This record gives sequence, C-alpha cells and structure tokens, in this order.
Amino acid sequence: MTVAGEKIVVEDRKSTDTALVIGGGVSGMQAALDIADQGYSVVLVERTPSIGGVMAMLDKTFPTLDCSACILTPKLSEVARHPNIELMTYSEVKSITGTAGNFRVSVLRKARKVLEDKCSGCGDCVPHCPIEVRNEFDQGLGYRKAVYIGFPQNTPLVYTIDSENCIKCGMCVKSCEREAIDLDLEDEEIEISVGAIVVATGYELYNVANYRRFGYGRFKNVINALEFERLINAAGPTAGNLMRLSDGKIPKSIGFIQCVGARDATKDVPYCSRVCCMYGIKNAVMAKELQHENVKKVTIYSIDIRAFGKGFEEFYNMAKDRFGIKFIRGRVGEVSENSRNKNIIVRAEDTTTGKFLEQEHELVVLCPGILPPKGLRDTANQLGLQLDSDGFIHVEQPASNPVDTAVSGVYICGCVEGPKDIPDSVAAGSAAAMRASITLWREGEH
Amino acid sequence: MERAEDIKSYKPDQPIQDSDVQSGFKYEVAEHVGAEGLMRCLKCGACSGGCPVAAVTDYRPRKVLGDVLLGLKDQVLSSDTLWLCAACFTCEERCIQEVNFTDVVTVLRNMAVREGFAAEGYMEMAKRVIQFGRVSPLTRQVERMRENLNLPPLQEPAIEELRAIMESAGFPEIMEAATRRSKTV
Ligand SMILES: Cc1cc2nc3c(=O)[nH]c(=O)nc-3n(C[C@H](O)[C@H](O)[C@H](O)COP(=O)(O)OP(=O)(O)OC[C@H]3O[C@@H](n4cnc5c(N)ncnc54)[C@H](O)[C@@H]3O)c2cc1C
Ligand code: SF4
Ligand code: SF4
Repeated sequence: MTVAGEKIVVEDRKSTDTALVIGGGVSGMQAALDIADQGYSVVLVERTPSIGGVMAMLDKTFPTLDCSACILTPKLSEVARHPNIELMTYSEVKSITGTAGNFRVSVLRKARKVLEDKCSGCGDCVPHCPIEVRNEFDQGLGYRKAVYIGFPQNTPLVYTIDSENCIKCGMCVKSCEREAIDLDLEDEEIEISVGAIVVATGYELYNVANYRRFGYGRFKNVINALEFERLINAAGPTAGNLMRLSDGKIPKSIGFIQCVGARDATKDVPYCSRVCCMYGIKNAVMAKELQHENVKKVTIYSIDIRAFGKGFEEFYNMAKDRFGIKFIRGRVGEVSENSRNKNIIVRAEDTTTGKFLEQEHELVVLCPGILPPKGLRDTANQLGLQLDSDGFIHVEQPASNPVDTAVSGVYICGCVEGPKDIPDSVAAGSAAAMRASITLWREGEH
Repeated sequence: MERAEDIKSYKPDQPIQDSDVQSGFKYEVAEHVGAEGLMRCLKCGACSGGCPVAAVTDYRPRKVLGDVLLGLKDQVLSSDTLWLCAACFTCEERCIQEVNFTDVVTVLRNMAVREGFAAEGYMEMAKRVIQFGRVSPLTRQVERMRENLNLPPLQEPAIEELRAIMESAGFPEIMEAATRRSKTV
C-alpha cells in the first residue's frame, strides 16, 4: 500500500499513537511500514546515513536470483515518503525509560552537517571535496568523499559529511547552490514519547581474519562473501566486473569456503548461521552466470549443505546440475598462497571418497557466519532485555510468541533474534508490527 | 592445476559385515581420559584437511574417528595407520567440535598395545627404554653434536629406578601382550 500526504509531526502526537523502531534494515522497515499503515505514527531510528541494512549491499537474492535492489528500492522510498513515518537516520538511541504505553526515549541525532530539508541529493558538492576515503558500504573496496552517500539509493537522499575525515576546507559549502551545507552544525539530542518499541538492529558478520589458516588479510585473493557481493554488483566499486584483488584478472577458478565463524565451538559460534549455505550457492551460481566464458571451475567446500527453505533444495540441485558447481563435502583444513601467481591453494579432505585435495583457485571466498550486532548489549541494557548465550536477544516463548521479549511493549524482529534470511526477517517485521500495534491500541484511550 | 588431487589415491572402503561391528566400542574409547569429546565429531574432515601426514599418506584422522564411531574395533586397533600420527596437534587445534583427536589417538594406541597390536617400531623403542633407559641409545655422534652446541654431557639414566617404576606400572605385562600377538601372527 502506498500512502501519500503531508508528514505527521510526531511531537504533536500522544505516546500511545507512536511506536519506535530501532534499526532500518529490511525487517525494521517492514515493521515501520506495517505500523504506519494502521494509522499509528512511527519514528524509525537508524545508525548509518541510510536505511536498507545489509540487503541494500546484496547483489541478488536466493533462491530466485531476484535483484536485491529491485525488491528493496520501492520499499526504501515507501518508508521515506510515508506520511506516518519519521526517519531519523545517522542517529542513535541514547536512553529509554518508562513502560509500555509511555516510554521516554532520547535520540542522539548526529550532525550530518547537511540540512535534510534543503539538500536535494544532486551531489554537486562531491567533486569539490578533496578528501577520499574507503567506502564502508562497498566493504572498503571502493572510495567515497568526506561528503557522501554510500550508494545511489541512499534513503533519505541527503548527503552526509563524515566529521572524522572532513578537514573543514569549506569547498563543498561554496559549491552547494541550495546552501544546504553548514559545517558548524552540532549533534543534537531530542526526546520523544512512544507507546511501543521494535528492536531491529540486525547483525554483524563474523570477522574471518580470526581464522589465520584461511588467509584473509594475509593473501589478497581471499575475500569475504559480502565483498564478493559488492564486486559483482553493477553499482559496486568495479561496476559489476568480477575481478580478483591482486591483479584485477577475472578469476577462472573460484573456491567458496563455508562455515567460517559458524558451527565452531572453539570460536564461540556453535550455532548454524542458516543463510550462508544458500548465499554461498547463490554467489557461486552468479559467478558462472556473469562470467560463464571465463569462470570455468567453481567449487564449494562445506561441512554439509543446509537447504532448508522453500525452493532451496531445488536451487541447490540446479547449481549442481545446470551450472556445474562442484560441491565438496569437507571442511577446509587450511589455505596457502602460490607466491608466483598469487593463487590460493586449498587443502581439504573430500570426506565422501577420502581423497586428500590440494586445489589451486584464483580466488577464494570465505562465507562468514552471523553475529549479534555491535552494541546489542547496550541496547539490551537500556531496555532491560536479556541476551541468550549466543549473544542474540532472548525470547521467552519462541514457539508461541516469537517476536515478544521479556519486557512488555518491546518486540524484536529480524536477525537481532538470531540468523535469518530476508523472507523470515520481513515476516518477523510484520509480526512485530502487529504486536506493537496491539500494545498501542490497548494502552491508548478508547 | 589439480596438482595434488591424486597425490595418494585412497583405498576404497571394504563392505562392512555385521560381525565387524562392536557397537559399544565408541563408549569404551570415550571412557578414557582425553577421548571424552569423541562423540561430538561431525566427520567434517577439517582434521584430515590440515594433517601433514594425510597430505602424503592414506591416513585420515576423520576416517579413524568414523571407524571408531561405527564400532570397527578390530579394524581400528589393528591398523598400521594408527601409528602414523605425528602428534603435531594441528587437528586438535582445527577441530570445530573440540574432539581433541591427538588425545584420542593416544588412547587408541594404548588400547591397541594391550590388544597386542603394537607397531614394530614402537616395540623396539619400548625395549630400548627398558634396556638403556633411553628411546635412542647415546652414540658418539650425539655426544659430539652436544659438544658443538655447547650443551652439557648427558647424565647416565637411573636404570634400576626406571625399571622399578615401569614394573609397578605394568609395563612388562603390556609388552608381553604385544609380543604374544606378534608371535601368533
Ligand atoms: C553475504 C550475504 C548474502 C546474503 N544473501 C541473502 C540472500 O540472497 N537472500 C536472503 O534472503 N538473505 C540473504 N542474506 C541475509 C540478509 O542479509 C538478512 O536476512 C537481512 O539483511 C536481515 O535484515 P535485518 O533487518 O534483520 O538486519 P540488517 O540488514 O543488518 O539491518 C539492521 C539495521 O539496523 C541498523 N542498526 C544496527 N544497530 C543499530 C543501533 N544501535 N541503532 C540504530 N540502528 C542500528 C544497521 O545499521 C542496519 O541498517 C545474506 C547475508 C549475507 C551476509
Ligand atoms: S575436525 Fe573434529 S569434528 Fe571434524 S571430523 Fe575431525 S574430529 Fe570430527
Ligand atoms: S596430531 Fe596426528 S592426526 Fe592430528 S594433524 Fe597431527 S599428525 Fe595428523
């Protein structure tokens, strides 16, 4: 449903008419839309300059290979234009007090130094900025200026000045015809009252450099899966040209290593991250699809493939039969670098035959598991929530109330509860929206 | 490119007969100190993938564990490969399930010896320990090497005391069991 009209003014509304959603990934966006479509107002607080979360960085989605941006972009603009949603990007929740029906929330609005109501997103300032740094959105593979948007669909379409790197030369200020830039703006803390809260702060990737034996950070041609997503993305740093980092060559042979920071008791990640098998297969298929002339050999090394969802097993079989992806059942022991050509040598046992393999790949992609997001403990403490031993938020009754926390009026959705794929994150977003709306309805006066 | 895929072809598994399986074997092994983690094994193969011995021989740590879990007691304890482990502990460090395979190997070797399946080389070493108090006898060459390295000369081992300790620990009986089997074979 698309709703148009004048934006509501949250400050004018009663706390029981308003919900707070923390985290603007795909699940938080869904929760915000579903609450807003019921006539309540929503404040959506997002830490980075744009909503969208990890999904905005992905190239395609399994198992349909739909373009991630094509699904997400309409939702991004729907959230941005919805009259009942107030977006607070580049912001963080500082403190929360009160109970269901009346939470007092203080939000830190970091100074983006560009006025949101004046900036048109034209980007005229960009060529004038002399500072160039690595773009976080591209996993550091591409560059951006100190005045930037991370990606073309940045929502809201407002530039941000990264104060850490800005040298205050004022070039951008002069170049902006709309006079939208003010380098003297400072952080601001505002107070809002809300009746219900949805926590949707998502996840973080396991830092694969913790496995020295897999060579990440030591060998240039070992990358992680999110870097791979950016490398094959048309809007990414290479304009979608798959290349390896040592010499820019198209890799003829690629190896994917699964379960890096998942199902490993010795690294405190004993749980399965659910999505890695499927995104591993997706990326393997995409390598062949994009570069079938060049990419000749794609191998996935795994403990076993967990294709649990609708259409997943079929996708797995298609990868084998139609795309000729080779699956090796065997966790990789270690990798090394061929110093001559910078290829990566993977050592593993094919456990179905007992063969000891030592295979050379031109590129190796590590598929990291999913961790609770940074700062989740602080968020949990602010709200009085418990974390499970794996660090994700504890749900009291996962079978009957999967999005309810132990605190009345506080709900969760998406990966903050545990690893999930996009459909499950979105479904949880809708569920949390319904639970939050029920709280608003009950606490309100009728 | 697939330089080493065929480094060493692996002997295909023989069909397993019911009579080969002793289902209680894994529990028997897991009772020993060091082998408690055995049952956690996922047979993922990370141990084999990093094992320096697996890279050049037929030996596969994952396979040994698989056979133990299956209950192939005689096959495991009598196999020559059990004695190939170099005790480098790589597998133990790499294992995602904290199986501690190097310790499992020690347990299995101890069991094998008691069943009379000691590798000849190890028996030779054991005999030398009883005879000379050392795994390898002290030679002139070793002495010279130590001198060159400015190391002090080695002391004479206290053989009598050593023998007394070994006797009360039951070493001769273990040797006896091992020798009995090698005579009958
Ligand atoms: C390489 C890779 C490929 C994938 N491919 C697929 C695929 O093809 N199909 C599929 O279904 N799934 C895929 N996934 C999984 C998918 O990314 C997740 O299911 C989805 O992103 C979860 O959405 P989310 O909203 O829960 O979390 P996120 O996308 O992580 O969003 C959380 C948001 O909250 C913000 N945030 C965090 N902390 C705070 C805070 N304290 N205050 C305010 N804001 C905060 C973050 O900045 C972020 O914007 C893939 C994952 C990876 C790693
Ligand atoms: S690495 Fe550990 S879990 Fe995997 S096969 Fe070896 S012993 Fe079993
Ligand atoms: S300890 Fe033994 S089994 Fe383990 S890696 Fe070293 S040689 Fe191989």
